[in-house]
Amino acid sequence: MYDGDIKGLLVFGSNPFVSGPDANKETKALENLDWMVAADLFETETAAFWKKEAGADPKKIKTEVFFLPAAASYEKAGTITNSGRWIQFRWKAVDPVGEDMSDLEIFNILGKKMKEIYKDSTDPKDKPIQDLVWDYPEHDEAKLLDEVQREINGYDLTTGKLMAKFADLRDDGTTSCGVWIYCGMYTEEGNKTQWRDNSDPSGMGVYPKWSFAWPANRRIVYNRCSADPAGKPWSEDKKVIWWEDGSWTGIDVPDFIVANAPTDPDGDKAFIMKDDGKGGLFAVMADGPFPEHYEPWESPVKNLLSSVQFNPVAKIWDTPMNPQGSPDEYPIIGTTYRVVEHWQAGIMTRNCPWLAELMPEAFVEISKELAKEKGINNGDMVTIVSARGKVKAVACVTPRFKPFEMNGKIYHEIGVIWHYGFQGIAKGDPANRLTPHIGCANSHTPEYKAFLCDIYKGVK
Amino acid sequence: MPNKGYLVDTSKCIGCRGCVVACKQWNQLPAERTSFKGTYQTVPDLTANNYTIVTFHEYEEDGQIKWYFTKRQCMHCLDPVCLKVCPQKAISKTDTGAVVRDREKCVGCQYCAAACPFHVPRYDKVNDKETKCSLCPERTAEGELPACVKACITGALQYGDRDQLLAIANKRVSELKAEYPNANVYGDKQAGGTNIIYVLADKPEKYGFEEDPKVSIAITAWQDIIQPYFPWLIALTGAVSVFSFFSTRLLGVGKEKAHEGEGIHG
Ligand code: SF4
Ligand code: SF4
Repeated sequence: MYDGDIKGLLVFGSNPFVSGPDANKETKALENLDWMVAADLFETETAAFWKKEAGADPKKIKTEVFFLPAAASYEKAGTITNSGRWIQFRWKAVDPVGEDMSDLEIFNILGKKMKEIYKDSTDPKDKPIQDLVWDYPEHDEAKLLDEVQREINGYDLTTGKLMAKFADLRDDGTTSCGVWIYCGMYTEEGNKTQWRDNSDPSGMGVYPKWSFAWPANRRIVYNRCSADPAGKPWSEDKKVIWWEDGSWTGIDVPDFIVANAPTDPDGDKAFIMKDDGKGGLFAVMADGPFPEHYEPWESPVKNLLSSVQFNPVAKIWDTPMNPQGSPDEYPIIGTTYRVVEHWQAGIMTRNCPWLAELMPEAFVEISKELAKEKGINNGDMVTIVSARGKVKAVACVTPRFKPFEMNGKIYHEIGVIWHYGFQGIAKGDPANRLTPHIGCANSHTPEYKAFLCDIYKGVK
Repeated sequence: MPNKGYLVDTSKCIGCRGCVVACKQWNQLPAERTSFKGTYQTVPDLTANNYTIVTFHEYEEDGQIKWYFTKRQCMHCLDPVCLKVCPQKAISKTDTGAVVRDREKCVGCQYCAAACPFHVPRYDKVNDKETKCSLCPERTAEGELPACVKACITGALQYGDRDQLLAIANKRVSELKAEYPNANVYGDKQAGGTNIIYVLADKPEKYGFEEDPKVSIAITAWQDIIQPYFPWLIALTGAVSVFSFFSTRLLGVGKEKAHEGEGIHG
């Protein structure tokens, strides 16, 4: 987007103006867009990136921004999937306010409109849109959601019946499925994400009929591991699946090929997702197999634990507006974090008066020692600067922060609260203007939590 | 009915202020404009719009950091002085010992604020009424927990019979003693005992509490000499100056407090 290749942006429930690493660059990139469609509960900083308060010159920005009022989670039905792999249905508590709509309804309208616009096009690049089946019901949110959930589960295209399990899916065009792991959540038996039976027959906290657990309503993955190679439970108290009288039995959906007896050649293979069926201490990762300590991209110290300073396979975007700061210029270690009163990029909580009362503005925590060195008093407005950006915040001088002594030298650390932006009731500069655009080797998760900076009293 | 109240176990409090927001929501109290002044305690004191607050006290002792959070609000005294001094009999006790105010009867004279040993009631300038925590009698009467207790995720707040709460508090303090030698129960005897019981991990003053909160001597004078004549005093043209005399001379502290309440919420 920064290079001008991406022309349009749909931004739903996300606020990179505040939450993106190297936020100045992310904001600058938005200026290259022809259009943006933003949907949220309140106008986000991202949707208002073109305003004067954002630091932009509205006259110079040509982006057309459409802001759509989105329904909050309790104003719509839908499912949430938790880290325990349960996909749970949630019913709507109240009707949306005013013209608010669920994201699903917004996308339905957008999809239909898009098909309409491209229907007569002869450009081959528009063919995918023309071929897209998009016949969802309109003006009936509950029906729309139901249909989408069924579609994600998938159908037997010959019989028109809902698929019972992912193992029955075929790659010959006779079955359909939106997401294979969710196949089985909505079968001819009904919508299992709505299951609310909290009985626990095994007494082990399994709750097999409370919502649906992907995949296959399996509550414990790799549950073959609960029994030894011969199929005998490792522990009588914690037995999940075991071999008894010539077959597998237990309290959960088996996560292995049940046709295999323990004595069969593959009968002790417990890790179905691995080609060799075996667990491994080393996974194939970009920077494995052994754990190693690397210093952050910006660090004031030499790596004493390894001869290699920085992870050689981390992703560094060597692009404009992502410069690396040196410890000579930026001697202080910076980090960012949150407070309980605000949620992420803050657009919901910073607009709640009661929460804004409790955490009204951006602040930075610094040690008494650093405060003394810099002539900063508790409650002073200060400026924090990194190679990439500059933010102001109120100083919170606290003994909870302490200088580090490393390799015989004293180093200071500061902690900046990052939820803030210029919109809403509780306001402040986004701390992510300071952070770099670095991705971890495996998932490209940004290196938000360690950077170099400097701090001074006042706003200059 | 036994006396009921709740326990504030500061050793379990994480300072999340869920209780504060729950209170404001239940009582529909507007938010106040605040700023961050170098402490997480952005609401410095109780106000007419904050019946409860959480205080944050930070200490560094013997190389150890101590960050104490505690919830503050009306203590629901067993023998409430506010009730005694109220010339309008606007303050009463429910059958479970919650100290409640009748808004209709309150004339905003602020004598309860002056008398309160815990400096609790706040003057609501807009409506000319005193305000404070009521212990949610409308909720508890329906078998619901007070809003703050309901919201507390850590179990720092527990609602129940005062006797039982005291037993829990004493047990908890004895557990804490090993690590926190100054741990103590607060509210068991302060100001004659209160329905809100605290477990403090350190001396009361470390939490901004007075070890032994006292009622001003002048209060006694007020009760015995003036109060019986109050109804006709108020009708007198000179009533204002009589109030003023009492406020400034006899209840000097009260005057200060009344102003403070006004200043913060104004
Ligand atoms: S703490 Fe103050 S306001 Fe509350 S009951 Fe006691 S005297 Fe009355
Ligand atoms: S809700 Fe509980 S843990 Fe949170 S501040 Fe209140 S008393 Fe403490």
